[in-house]
Amino acid sequence: MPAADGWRVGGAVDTEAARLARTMEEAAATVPAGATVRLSLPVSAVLMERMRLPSADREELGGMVVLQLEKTLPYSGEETTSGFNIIRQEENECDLLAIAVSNEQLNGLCLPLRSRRKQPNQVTVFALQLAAKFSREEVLALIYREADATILAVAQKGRLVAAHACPATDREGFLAELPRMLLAAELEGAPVNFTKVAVERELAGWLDGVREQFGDVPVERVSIDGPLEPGPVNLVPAGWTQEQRQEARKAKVRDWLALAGAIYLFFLLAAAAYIIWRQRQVGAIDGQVMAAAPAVDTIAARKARWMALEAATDPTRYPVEILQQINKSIPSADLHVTIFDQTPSQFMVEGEAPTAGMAVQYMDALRANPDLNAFHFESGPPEILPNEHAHFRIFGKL
Amino acid sequence: MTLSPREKVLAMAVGGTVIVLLNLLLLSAFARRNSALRAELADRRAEWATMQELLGEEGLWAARDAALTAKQPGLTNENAAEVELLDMVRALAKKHEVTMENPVFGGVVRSPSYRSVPVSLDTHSTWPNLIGFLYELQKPDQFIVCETANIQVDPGDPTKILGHFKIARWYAP
Repeated sequence: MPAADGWRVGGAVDTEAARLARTMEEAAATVPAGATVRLSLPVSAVLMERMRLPSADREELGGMVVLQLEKTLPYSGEETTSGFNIIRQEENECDLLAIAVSNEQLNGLCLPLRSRRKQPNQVTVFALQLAAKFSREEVLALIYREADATILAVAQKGRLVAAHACPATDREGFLAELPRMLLAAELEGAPVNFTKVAVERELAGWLDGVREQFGDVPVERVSIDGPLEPGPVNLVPAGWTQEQRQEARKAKVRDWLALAGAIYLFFLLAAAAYIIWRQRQVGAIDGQVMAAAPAVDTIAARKARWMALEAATDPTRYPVEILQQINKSIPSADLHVTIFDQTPSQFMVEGEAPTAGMAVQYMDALRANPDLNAFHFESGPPEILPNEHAHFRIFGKL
Repeated sequence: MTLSPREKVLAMAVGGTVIVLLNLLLLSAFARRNSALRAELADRRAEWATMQELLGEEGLWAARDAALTAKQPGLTNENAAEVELLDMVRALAKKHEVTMENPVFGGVVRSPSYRSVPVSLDTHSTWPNLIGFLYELQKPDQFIVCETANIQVDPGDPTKILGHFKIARWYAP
C-alpha cells in the first residue's frame, strides 16, 4: 500500500502491524517468500475517468471502457491494463469509474517484486479500497497523503467516484489547491454535496483549514491503517497472468525433471551397487580359492603322481587285461585279431572279419565294454579285401 | 543472453541427443561389465567346485600317495636294476615257454613321478603261453610297466605269436 513517504507492507490482518519501506526495493525485500502479494497503487500511478455508458453486462462494458480509454489515453489497448467500478446502474445507462495503468510503468514499479518471484496476484488502487471502508456515507470527501502527494478522493456509498492528487504536501499548499480540485471533481460529474469529510489522522493540523473550505459539513479524523478489502478492480496485466502460468508450468516441468533425475540417479546407483556386489562375489570366491590353494595344490600333486603311475598300478591298463577285454568282445570265432599295438597313450587292434557288418559289430562291442570305458574309440570304415573279408583297424585312446 | 524459441528447440534436441548417447554408452559399458563379471563368476564357481571336489577326496589321495611312497621301489644302482629286471623277465619267459630274443637295455629315463629302467625285447610263443607270461609279469606292487607292446600273429606260423615289448620298472624319482 502507498504511504505518505514510501510504502506500507503487511498489516493485512488486525494482529499484524504494517511495516514502512522507503522504496519498492525495500518493500519487496521484506515480503516473505511464498506470501500472497496484493499491491495497492497510489492515485498518481493510474488514470481515472468517469464514464456514462449504456447498461450492459460486465464483459460488454469492459469492451466499451477499453474503446473509450483508447480515445483518451496516449497508449494503445495492449499497452495498458484497465478495469472499472460501477458507481450507479440504471435500466438504460450506468455511471462507472474506469481506471487504467500503463503496463510499462507497472512493470517498472513491480520489477523488484517480480525479480524476486513475488509477483502480485492482485493490483488495485488504494483510494478504491479506502472508499470501501466508508460504505455508510452518502457522499464522502477523503483527504490523505500518499506517494509524496495529497489526495482528495470523493466516494459515494463506499464507491470511489473521483480522486485527485495534489503535489503539495503542506497544509497551505493543499488548502490553496482544494477549491480547484473540488471544481474539477464536480466537472467530472462527481457529487460535491458532501455529507462528511474524513481527514487522515496524521493531518490533524489541517482540520481547521479544511472545515473552513467545506463549511457546515462535519469533518473528522480517520485512520487509514488497518486491513482493507481487496478492492473491486484488479489491474494485473494479462502478460503477468500468462507469465505466472508459464512459471507454474516451468515449476511443474522442474518438479518432473527433478523426479526423473532422482529416478535416474537411483538406477545409476543401483547399477553401480549391482556391479560392486558382483565384484565382491568374485572377490569372495577368489579369497576362498586363494585360501584353499595350498591344500588343493598338494592334493593335485598327489593325484597327478597317482595318474602318472597308473600304467604300473592300475591292472585295467595292463596289456594282458586289455587283450582279455578285446577277446571277450569278439562277436564270432570267425573274426580274427592279427595285430595288437599298445603305447602309453593308446592301443590299436587290427584284424579281419568275414563281413564288414561283423567288423562294425566288433567295434560297437568294444565301445560298449564297461571295462574299457577309460578309452575313447576311433576307427575308419572297414576295408573290403579281395576275399570279401573286411579288414579293420580300431584305436582306443586315453 | 536469451535464446530464441528455435535456438531453444535446437539446444534441447542437441542436449537430448547427447544425453541419449551418453546413456547408451553407460548402458553398453554396464552390459559389458556385467557380462564379464557373470562369466568371471561362473569360471570362479566352477573352479571352486572342482577344488571342493578335490578337497573332499583329500583322504583318498593322501592314502594313495602314502601307498605309493610305501610301495614304489627306490633305485640304488641303475646298472644292477637293468640286469635284475632282465633276469626276472628271462626267468618268467622260461617258465612260460616264451622264447625271448634281442634284449636291449634302454638306460634310465627320468620323469617327475618315476625313474624308468626299461628293457626292449622280442618274444615268440603260443598265444596261451604269452598270456601266462604277461599275466605273471605285471602286478600292482611290482611297478613293472609295458611301456610299448606290439603283438601279432606270426605270418610263417599262424599258431605262434610274435611280440615286441618295452618292459620297464618304475622306481621312485
